[in-house]
Amino acid sequence: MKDFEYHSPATLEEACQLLKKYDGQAKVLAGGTDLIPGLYRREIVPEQVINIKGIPSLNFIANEESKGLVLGSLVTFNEIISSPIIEEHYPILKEVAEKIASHQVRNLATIGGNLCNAAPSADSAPILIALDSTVALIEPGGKERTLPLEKFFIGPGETALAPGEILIQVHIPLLKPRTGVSYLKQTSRQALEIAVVGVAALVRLEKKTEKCSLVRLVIGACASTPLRIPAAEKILVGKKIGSQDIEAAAKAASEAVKPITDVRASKLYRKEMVRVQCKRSLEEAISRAKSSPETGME
Amino acid sequence: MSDKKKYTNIGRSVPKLDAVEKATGKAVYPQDTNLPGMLYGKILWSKHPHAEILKVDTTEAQKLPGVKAVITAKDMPPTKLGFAQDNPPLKGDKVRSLRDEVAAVAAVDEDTAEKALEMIKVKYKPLPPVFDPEEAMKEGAPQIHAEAKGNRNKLHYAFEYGDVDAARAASDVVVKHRFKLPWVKHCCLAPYSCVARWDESGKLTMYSPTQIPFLYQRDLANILQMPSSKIRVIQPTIGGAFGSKLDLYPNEVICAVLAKKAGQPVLLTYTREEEFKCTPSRQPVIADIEMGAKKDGTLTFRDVFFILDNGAYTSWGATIPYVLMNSVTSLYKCQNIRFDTAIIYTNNMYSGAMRGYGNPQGTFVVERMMDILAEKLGLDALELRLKNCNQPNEVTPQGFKVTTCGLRECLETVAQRLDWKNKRNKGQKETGTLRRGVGLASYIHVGGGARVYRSDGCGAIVKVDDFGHVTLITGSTEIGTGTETVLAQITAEELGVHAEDVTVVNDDSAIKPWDVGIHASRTTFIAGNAAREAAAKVKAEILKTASELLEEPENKLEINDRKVYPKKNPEKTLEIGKVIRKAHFRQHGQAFMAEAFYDPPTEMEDEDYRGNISVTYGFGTQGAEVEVDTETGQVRVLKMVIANDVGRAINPMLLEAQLEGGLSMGVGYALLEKLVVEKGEVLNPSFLDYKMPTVKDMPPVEIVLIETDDPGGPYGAKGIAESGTIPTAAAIGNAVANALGLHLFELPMQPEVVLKAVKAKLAKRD
Ligand SMILES: Cc1cc2nc3c(=O)[nH]c(=O)nc-3n(C[C@H](O)[C@H](O)[C@H](O)COP(=O)(O)OP(=O)(O)OC[C@H]3O[C@@H](n4cnc5c(N)ncnc54)[C@H](O)[C@@H]3O)c2cc1C
Repeated sequence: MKDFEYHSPATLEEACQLLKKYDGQAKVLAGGTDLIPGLYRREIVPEQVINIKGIPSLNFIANEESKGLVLGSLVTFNEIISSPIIEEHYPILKEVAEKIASHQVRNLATIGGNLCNAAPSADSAPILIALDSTVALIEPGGKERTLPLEKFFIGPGETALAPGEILIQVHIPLLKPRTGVSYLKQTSRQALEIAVVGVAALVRLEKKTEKCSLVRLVIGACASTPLRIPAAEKILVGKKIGSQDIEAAAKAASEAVKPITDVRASKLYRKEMVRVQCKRSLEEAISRAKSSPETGME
Repeated sequence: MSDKKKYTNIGRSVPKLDAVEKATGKAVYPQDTNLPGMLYGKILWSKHPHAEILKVDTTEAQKLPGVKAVITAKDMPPTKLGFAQDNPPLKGDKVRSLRDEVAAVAAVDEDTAEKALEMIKVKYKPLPPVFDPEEAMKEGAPQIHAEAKGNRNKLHYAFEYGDVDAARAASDVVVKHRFKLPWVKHCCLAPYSCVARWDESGKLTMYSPTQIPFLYQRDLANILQMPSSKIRVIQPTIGGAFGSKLDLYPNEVICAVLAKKAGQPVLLTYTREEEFKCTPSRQPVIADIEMGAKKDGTLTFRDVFFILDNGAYTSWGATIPYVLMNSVTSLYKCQNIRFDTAIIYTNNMYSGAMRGYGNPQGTFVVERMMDILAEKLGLDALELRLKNCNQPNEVTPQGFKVTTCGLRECLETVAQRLDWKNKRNKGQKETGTLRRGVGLASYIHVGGGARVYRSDGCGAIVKVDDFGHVTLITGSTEIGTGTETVLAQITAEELGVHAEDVTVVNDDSAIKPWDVGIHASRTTFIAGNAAREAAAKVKAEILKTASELLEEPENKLEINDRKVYPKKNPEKTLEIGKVIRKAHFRQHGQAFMAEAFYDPPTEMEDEDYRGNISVTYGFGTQGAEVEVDTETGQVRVLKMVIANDVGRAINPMLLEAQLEGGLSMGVGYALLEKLVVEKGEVLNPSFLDYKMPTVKDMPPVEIVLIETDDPGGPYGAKGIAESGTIPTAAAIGNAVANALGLHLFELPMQPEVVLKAVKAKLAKRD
């Protein structure tokens, strides 16, 4: 690890000032589970490191009428797992968090870090996109903006964050009635694994007719960013979904993704697994939509 | 069972004596060493898998402030390392793999050392490399060592017994296949680390995690061209070995030379990446195997050819056919055997010893073929094994004299616990996505030492002080397996005290007596017998004095629970410490200590690989139930059963932990683990992509200990340390085959490989 200067601001204002001072050259440190190994491997050699962990205003979980669930960027995956609010209203987030890394890593790993690190395999991304989440960002000058998460990812390790910008919140709208969600992560081990393929599906069915009124299908680890598959979604929307439709959508997804061959799996295998896991994920989301409550906020 | 009761220490699950130190992080590993003035060493690795070194320029590096020593081949003695003496610790004229040591630096901290490495300029002339052993065998292939024609290592293991060709002709069924097994890694929790310190009189102290302190001392002396009496080896807490520290490697020599040149102690610790790339690994093998049988299942012959990727240099990896051969010649009864090998140099990293020492490879091949043979014969795979099962008092083709043998019971126990009758062949009739299957496999391995060196001995010194505290000084080494605890139990049992009363000293070559090393599942058996003998001698002395004090003949006395008493009058007790004080603090007083050296009554194999190398042999069977997802190729192990002939369980808890730990390595070998090596480069040198099973990947494991009470073992014990790993992959492989009704010939059975086979089968059916 190369030497660097270390800062630990206590407020967001202080952090912004530091980021402004170093003009986008400083690296933000949250849980450090991506950054620290990168420093050891010398893939990143920052002159300045700004630890934002000491900023209390970035660490909270709230359920707001207008925005839905609001997560401060510092919320860790274990905090997600043990949050009663999430367990009651967003159980899928708990389900996803439990599939990430190991207990020890989840004690450190933050939702903000997972998104800002922008690994194509980041587990929180596909499901948050499927849920139509937005992220709130703050510039060094203190100006805030929001952005749909779908627009946040640009490439591996690349995001819409401007130099010095920090992700401060994630907003997740409450699930509408008759909507089911699913996230399937294929790995070769049961824990401590990076997804070979990750598939998030959200399906909403109309009352009575059970026709599909909305689908979002998002694939992780199979392109340079998490990938939404409009071609597959189109096949399903407006239909009373049958198994053939699911097969067709899964096939469309498999054709749309652009995976690579690496030590974890070959391109061809990943494509095939996108088909299998899309099918399974859609089936799970549909079955959950059917059993989800009829009433609630439309 | 009945005699087990009379023991106070044997058969008791005493927690590891060093467990708390380790669990609380207080144990001191080599990397924790902090000597005054200690420097940090780093090695410069080759940039090419095969190249001539034209020039190494260290001028700039030497000038960097904080750098205390820079060495290249010029600073090294002309000697070479390894069994075949083909490995110079620093390479001078040629590099043969990407893990070749070209230069090394000692500096005040690691960062400075790393900076200095970047400043060393090396000029190479790349040579054409060869990475595939079969390519390397071909005429015209790049020549890696000038002396080794056709890249063949001069080590060659061939064995013949009976008449294979006649037996083949007389067989009703013959099966033949080719298997390919991968490079895998020990994955020690502690990366390799050692410290060298020279004193003013020219004596060298090495703090090393070596498994072979005395052979290491001699080898290091030879290579440094100094008397071994000037080398002291201290073994701090060792964070895992599994065979990876069974040889002397260049890093230790480099560390010593750096320390000498700098005039300061040097710590040289590998990063995890270096651990993956640069320490010797289990060698990949290609096996061509042919086996035959009569209609009734009687095995007729085995004809096997193994090609081993030796990598660029010779360490113990090249000698593994010595053990690999055991499963081919001696697992189940077969009277006609041909075994041959080609050990091939390539420009890959070199291979080394690893738990099982070739036996996991050999057993995988033989046991997978047993299932294939059974299928072809139309016989049940369990029946085929029982029909040819090893037995007590049998002599195998290699001349192994089997004494106790619980294999039949192991096979039957595993089958029963797996519900073999109901579950075997069920999966192939299922139609869903998930298919289940069961499979089993057995092993034979040395269980009473292994005479692979002129001595298979171990020394022990036992002393009892004035308060009745016992110290066992043993030649053997603790690498995390719990040998300290087991040896304390054996010593305590013999002396009539408690294991907790015994302090075990085993970490200093200047103190402890000779031992060949901790390998070959030998320590409980060999060091245990040595400790027991030494303890018995001290006990005799205690009884002599007690006999005076209690006015009873010695043979009428007993020691138990730290007290001596007449057998017929157990109320009349004398505390051991008191007996000792009486004999000590008087004129012509006496101290209570004794030594013993146990070298087992075995023979080295002759040049035809025949000889009874072990006092007794270990046997066991593992069973697996698996579930295969036919859409993804993923295999889940639902349950494993182990039945092991352990002779006697000295410490059931540690024994089961040893078996489970071994089994987890076997699960990794079967399904997950593989060093991805392309063009000589390891592409997954981290735990991110080299996949050891996690605790969540471990299935529930049922363990049945079968006690055959071996007459040669300490309290009847046999060695079992490697056995957990040996048959696991074969058992899982057989279960996967049983679930799918198809055969895989490669490890690991990663999802992609399984799925390909499933699809190929479906395509054939359509
Ligand atoms: C053993 C192990 C297993 C893992 N398993 C998984 C897994 O299963 N699934 C998975 O998705 N990931 C996994 N990861 C990756 C990692 O744990 C997650 O991506 C984690 O969420 C990162 O969060 P962090 O707080 O540790 O980020 P850090 O390492 O602190 O930061 C990561 C990056 O984001 C930037 N950053 C962090 N917070 C902000 C912010 N608020 N604003 C702007 N930039 C920011 C940092 O500058 C850095 O570039 C694993 C990592 C390890 C070491």
